[in-house]
Amino acid sequence: MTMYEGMFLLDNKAMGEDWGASLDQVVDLVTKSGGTVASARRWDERKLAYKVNGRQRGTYVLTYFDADGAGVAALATEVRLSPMVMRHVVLGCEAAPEEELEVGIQREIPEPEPEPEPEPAPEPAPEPAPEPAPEPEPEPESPAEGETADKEAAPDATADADEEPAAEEEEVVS
Amino acid sequence: MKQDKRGGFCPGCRDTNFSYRNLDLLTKHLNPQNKLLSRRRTGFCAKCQRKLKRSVKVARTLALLPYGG
Repeated sequence: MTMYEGMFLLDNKAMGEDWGASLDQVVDLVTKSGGTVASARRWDERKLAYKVNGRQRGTYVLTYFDADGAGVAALATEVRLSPMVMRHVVLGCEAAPEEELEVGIQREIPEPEPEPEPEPAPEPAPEPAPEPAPEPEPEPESPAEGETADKEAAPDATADADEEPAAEEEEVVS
Repeated sequence: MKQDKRGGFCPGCRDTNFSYRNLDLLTKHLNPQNKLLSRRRTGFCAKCQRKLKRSVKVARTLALLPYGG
C-alpha cells in the first residue's frame, strides 16, 4: 500500500447544500476503489482558470489515502462515472503531512479565522500651537502713489515734447 | 547545492515548495501569456525546473492555472 494525495474538483451545483454528504461521496469513491482515507477536507472554493463542464467556479477537496496501484486505476474509473467530480489528480507521496492527519475527515467547513483587529494607532503628539500669523500691515493707499507717479512722469513727458520740436528746428536751420 | 557555470546558485534548491497548490510560486514563473519561463529567466537548475514544470501542468489540469496561449 502506498500513500497518495488526491485532489478532486467538485461541481458546486451537483454538490447541493449539504457539504458533509458531498465529502462522504468523495470518500466513498476512494473506499469503493479499495483505498483507505486518512484525511479529507475542503481545500478551497474558487473561480476556475477556465470553464469546466460550463462551470466557472468549483470546490476543491484534498484527500490523503492509502491504496495500491490497482486501486488508483479503479478510482479513475469511479470518478469518471461520478457526476459530481469534474476533475481529479492523484499523486504519490511519501507520507501525509501531520497537520492533514490531525484534521481527519472534515465534514464541517471551518469558519475562517477572524482577522486580528488592527491596533489603534498611537495618538500623534499634540503639535505645538501654530504661531499667530502676523497681522498684515495696512497697505498704503494706492491711489496716492499713482497720483504722485503720474505727477512725476508728467513733467518729463512735457519736457520731451518740448525738446523734440527744438531738434527739428535745428535741423532745418543747418 | 550545485553551482552553475557562472557561479550562481539555484534559487529553487533553498526550501522551495514546488507543490501544485503553491500558486503564488507558479504564477511568478509564468509569462503574461501563461507560458512557463525558461531556465534562463527562472534561474533554476534542471532539477528544480522539472519540478516547476510538473507542478504547473498539474495545476492546469485542475483548472487552477490557465493553459498558455
